[in-house]
Parts: sequence; structure tokens; C-alpha cells
Amino acid sequence: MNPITGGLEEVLRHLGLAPGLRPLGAFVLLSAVVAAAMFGVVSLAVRRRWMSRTTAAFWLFVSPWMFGFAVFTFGPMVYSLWLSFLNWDLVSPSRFAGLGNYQKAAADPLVRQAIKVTLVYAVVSVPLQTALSLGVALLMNTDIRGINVFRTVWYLPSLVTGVAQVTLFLWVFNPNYGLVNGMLHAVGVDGPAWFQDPSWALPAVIIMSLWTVGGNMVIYLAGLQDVPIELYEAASIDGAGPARRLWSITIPQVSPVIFFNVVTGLIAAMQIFTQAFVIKSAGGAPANSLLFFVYYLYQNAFQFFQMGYASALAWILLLMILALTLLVFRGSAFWVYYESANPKASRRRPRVR
Amino acid sequence: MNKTPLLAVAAATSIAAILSSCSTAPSGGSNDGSATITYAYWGNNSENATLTAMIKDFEQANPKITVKANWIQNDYLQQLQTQLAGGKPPTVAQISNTDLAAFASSFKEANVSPSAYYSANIPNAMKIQGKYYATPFVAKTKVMAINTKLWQAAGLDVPSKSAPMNVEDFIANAKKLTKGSGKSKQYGSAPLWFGGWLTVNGGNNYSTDGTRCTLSSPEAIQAANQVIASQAKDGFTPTLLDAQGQDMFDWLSIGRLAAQPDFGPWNIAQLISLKNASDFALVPDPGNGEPMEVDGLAVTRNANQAETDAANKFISFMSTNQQAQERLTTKESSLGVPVVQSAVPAFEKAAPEQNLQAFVDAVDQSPITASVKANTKISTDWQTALTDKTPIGSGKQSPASVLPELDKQCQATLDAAGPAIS
Repeated sequence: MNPITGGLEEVLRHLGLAPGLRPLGAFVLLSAVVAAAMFGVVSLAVRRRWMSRTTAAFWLFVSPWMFGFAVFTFGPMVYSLWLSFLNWDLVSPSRFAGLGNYQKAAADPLVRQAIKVTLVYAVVSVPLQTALSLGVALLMNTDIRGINVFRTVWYLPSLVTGVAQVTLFLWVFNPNYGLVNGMLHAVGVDGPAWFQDPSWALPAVIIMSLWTVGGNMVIYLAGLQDVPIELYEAASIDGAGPARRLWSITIPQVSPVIFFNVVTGLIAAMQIFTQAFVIKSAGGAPANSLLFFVYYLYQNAFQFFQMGYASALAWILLLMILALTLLVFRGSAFWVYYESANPKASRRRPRVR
Repeated sequence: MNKTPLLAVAAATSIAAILSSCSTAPSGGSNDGSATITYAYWGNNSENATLTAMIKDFEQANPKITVKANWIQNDYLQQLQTQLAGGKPPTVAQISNTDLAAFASSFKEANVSPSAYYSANIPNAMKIQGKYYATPFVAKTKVMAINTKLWQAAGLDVPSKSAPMNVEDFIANAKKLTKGSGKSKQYGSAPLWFGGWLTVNGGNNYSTDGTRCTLSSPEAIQAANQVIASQAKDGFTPTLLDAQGQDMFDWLSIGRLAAQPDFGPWNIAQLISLKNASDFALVPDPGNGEPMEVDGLAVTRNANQAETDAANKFISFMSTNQQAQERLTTKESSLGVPVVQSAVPAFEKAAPEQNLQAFVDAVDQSPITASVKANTKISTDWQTALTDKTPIGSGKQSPASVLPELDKQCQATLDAAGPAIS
């Protein structure tokens, strides 16, 4: 047990608190100590006029989040950066490796394979998901009787957790007994072995990813319902047909939503893990066909216990995601339409004379 | 000047200081022999029930010692590793012989008395570089379950209950037992697993001292070729695709398989619950048999003296106490084979109509595989490469060309990892 929480629980034991309540009591006490320290520092800063009362209030209100971020996100990130320069198996003492783990990653053929598989998945699945979810949202954006039932049906699969979804699709894509090959067989086609075939495993996972487009569909639907109706009316008066209205009004108007979904989808696609883990556990994904980057990182960290190398891989992944996101952001200037010509202008506070 | 903020900081600092000083008091034990220890283990519900019952027996016999069960249902090794790294390991950790080398540096040396066990293989499985780092408490051997009706219907003699068949006879019989086609095809055997078939053929992954990889041995090449031939079109096992998502025990029970060579003790309860249980017999695996797993109990280095004393008492009880060992296998569930002779009769009584002695005999059938530090990485690498490059999976190359390559890669990983205890 951590010495501080151990000490706190010991104090609570002396105070006669029931054993089951001691961990909670220790947490409350610890939080009170941190809050008191924070309050003390901020109050001192106000008294000494280092900051205004409004600024102090801001810091006090955000302090719980700041504390959580520092302890559970930023701290581990800094620690993993340090770990990436070490060789450590969690059990034996660590050894300083300098840039050794990064050099190893540069020469590791499995890292190249992992980057290839992950990029192919991201580059193919994200546009497909975007097109399909937008298409479904357009279909669902009508005012007909029972449309909510259809919307619910499309949305429901996105509520299924990753492991359950993959387990289900292991059966759907089972080469001998699966639904897909059963249907293909009925029309005289011999289906592939899907997850068991190095050439088909990745396409199968991409197809599987389309099953949960309902989540994005809801966001597009909200975006579509925000498009001013006057624009469509004006376009109709000018003689624009449905395709023209879609291309010239709908898509530009929802382009910020598309941009949001593409960025978040790309980040999620680069971090794909569950699919590979479950399929591999079930004996599929031969020839490293589903060696996604995070799966390889996981293998090194928690199967081979090479924490330093895994941390280096995590930082390489962070840089790759950062680079891709920056690329999409830079490219967005050409296709994302904001109502204000200068998006920053709308954020400026109007000057009051 | 308002002193409230200064008082708040001072109060917080004082509380933190007081708490830190409280925390320096030792925990876990006292001078009167009373102690609380934690015990980490893996297993399913029934295995947990067995181990919990063993813990209760121990606590009744040793009322001053409390054992807190830490049942880790998934990712046991990962969680154990994390607990070790976080400085909060269990006092006693369950560990298998194959994983022992990776964790040995976190464990205290164990005081094992080899004469307490009926086979030298049992304590030897817990040795790393000549020293014991865990105490054995259960053996998980493999035998072959056969459907006697199918063997008799094919005009074949039912294999001996004590003498293993030779590998060639097994293959010849399995071919004769294979017939039919499509979804009702009957196979001579369940799919062969290369790692298991390697020891059946007398091979092993590593040399006895664990310093050399032996994946390019003639036995390894022969085993790989036999696995490939077994799943060919004219072979005698289902292919990996046929077996995908299927429970081979179910196939055995409904007569689609005539034999299942990797039948473990955890299947005993399932077997005796079958309506047609009398159709099946347990016989030794062919050749040198499949590798067994021995699970031991180790004391972690963080334990203080009182905890270590209590942990050693607990481990000794689990490993050699007849009452505890007799709990390992019942009609309802089986954790494995007892490691002391006095508990073997009770083990056999769990299914008197079946030849459970075969599990006990299997302890001596094949030599123990050396435990090496990088075993998980090496196993993952060669399993991936074998399935990718040879017809064991989706590849086309011959094992004779692939295995020497894998052996070199294995040796490089082995050398890079270094000895378990440096």
C-alpha cells in the first residue's frame, strides 16, 4: 500500500472508522489536504495582489480538473517519456538506453508493418465511415412517419462495446459457418477466409468498422438540421436540383461537422486496438495482417515486458497522430466552410463605444 | 496581514507530515506470530472456489495467519508485473514454470524439499539456474482422450492405458479413423499443436539449461511436417479453418473426433458429466507426451520477516498437506494433478471409472522445458513465423528452411534477454 494512504487509513483506524470506509475516508482526507493547500496558496496570492480575485476564483474552480490532469495524464506522459530512454522489464532494475529504443524502432521491420497496417486502416476506413454516415444522415433527415425508429436502428450498433462487436463479427465472418460466407455460397461464390486470410483480414476489419456509423450519423443529423432552410428555398427558386443543393449548400454547411468527424475519426483509427486483440486471441490475423501500432505497443509493454521500447513506440505514435492531425487542419482551409470568412473574427468581442 | 492562507498551508503541511510519519510503521505481521498475507492467483470460478477452500483450511489450521485472496481473473501476468513495479506486490504469487524465469528476480529463494514429491520433474520445474524460486503445488499434465467405440468400429485395438503409443502408430491409426466428408466428417484426431507435438517427438524449445534454442532440431522439423500432413486434404485432423470457433471437446463428445491428444485435467469434470462417458478412455499421449505445466507459489521480495514466515507456512500447507492437495480435483472441477503421493488416491477417486492414473504417469513422460526469461516473446515470434511461412498456417515454405531461421532469431532474443538472475 502507498505509504501516505496507508498512514491515513491507520489514522482512521485509530479514530474507529469501519474498515470498509477507510479507503474512502483516506481519499476524502487526502483531497481535503490538497484543497486546503491550494486554497492557502491562492489566498496568499490574492492578499499579495499577485492575482485578481476573479483569476483566483478561476484557478480554484478548475483546480480539481488540474489536479486530475496532472496526476493521471500529464504525470504519466512525462514518466513515459523518461521511460522511453530506459530498458526496463518492470521487475529488474532499469538501465539507461539513451536513444537506443528509438533507434531500435527505426530498424524494427514490425514497426514498419504496424505503421503500414494502421495507416491503411485509417486512410480507407475514415473516408468510408464519413461517406456512409453522412449518406445515412441525409436519408434520416426527413420528416416521415416512424423515422425515429430508423434513426434508433442505425444508432443502436454503436452502443455495442468493442469486444462484443468483434466477437459477434468473428461469427459473421467465420469461413465455414459464418453469415457472410453463407450468403455468398447461396449465390455461388466461395467466400474468403476473412480473419484467417492475410489478404482479407484488414478489409474485414474495415467492413466491420462501418457497422457503427450510427454514432457519427447522429452528429451529422444535428449538423443537417442546423442548415438554414432559407438557403434551400433560395436555391430552389433559382432552379437548383437536389444534387446541386447537396453539393452547393448541404456539404459546405456541414463541412465543419465533417471536419470534426474526420479529425476525431482519424485519431481513433490510429489508436485501434480491440479488434486486433480479440481476433488475434481467437487465432486469426495471420502474417501480422492486423498488427496495428497500438497492438504492437501493447505486445511490447504487457506481453514482452519491454516498457522502455513500448514507451518509445507510444511517443512515436503521438508524433504520427500530431503530424496527421496538423496535415488535416492545414488542408481544412480548402474545404471547410465557416459562415464568417475569417473564423477568428466571430470570436472577437464586439467593441463597445 | 490576514493569516488565514498561511494557516491553511501550514495545516495541510502538518497533516501531510503526520500522515507520512504514521506510514513508517511496519505492517503485515507482529512478534506473536500473527500475520496477514496476500495471495495472488488466476483461474476460473471453480478454480477460485477450490483455492478459496484451501485457504480456509489453512486459516483454520493456523488461526493467527490471515490470507487475503487476490483472485486475478484476466491478464494475470500483466497485473502481477504492474503490482511488482508499483511496489505493492502480493506476499505470495502463483506462477507457472514457463513464466518463472521472467519473475524469478522478484521472488525470494524457496526452501523446497525434493523428496516430498513423487517425481523429480515436479520440483525441477521450479528451478532457475540451479536454485528454487517457487514451491510446486499443482501439475497440469496432458493425456489423450479417445472414443473407444470409434476405435473398435474401425477394427483397431484400444490403446494401452499405461504404455504410450509410438508416434507412427498413432498417425497410422488416426488416418484409419478418418472418414466421410463435409460437416459430418469424422477425424482421427483433434488438430495437433506444434509446441505439443514437438515434445511428443522428443524435441524441445530450449536446451535443458535454457541457454540454447533447439528449434532447428530434426525432431522439430519432423514435428512440423507431421502437423502439416495431419491437416492436409488427405490428413486426419480438422484444418485450422474447420476448427475455427469450435470446441474440440464437443466434437469429441459427439463422435466427430476419435482422439483428443491435448486433454487436460480441467476437462475431467466435463468428461464424467457426459451421458456416454463410458465410451471414452484416457490413455497416455503418444511418444514423449505433451509438455506439462507446473504451477508453484513464490514469496515476493517485498515481504518482511513476519510475512515471509507466514507465507512459507501457507506455501508448505498448499504444496504438501494431504487435505489441501486432495481438494485439487473433485467430481465438479479440477485444478490439476496433486504433487504429493498421499493425495493421488483421492485424485483418482474423482472419476474412478476413468484412467486418471494416466495424468499422474504423464508427469514423468516428458522432460521439463527450461524456463527462460524471454519465453513469451520467443513463443509469439515463432508461432507467428511458423503460421505465416509454413503450411501449418497460410505459408508455403518448408519447415526445414524456416526452422533454422527461427532458431537463429530465438537465440538472438535469448541472448539479448540474458539470464533470469544476474
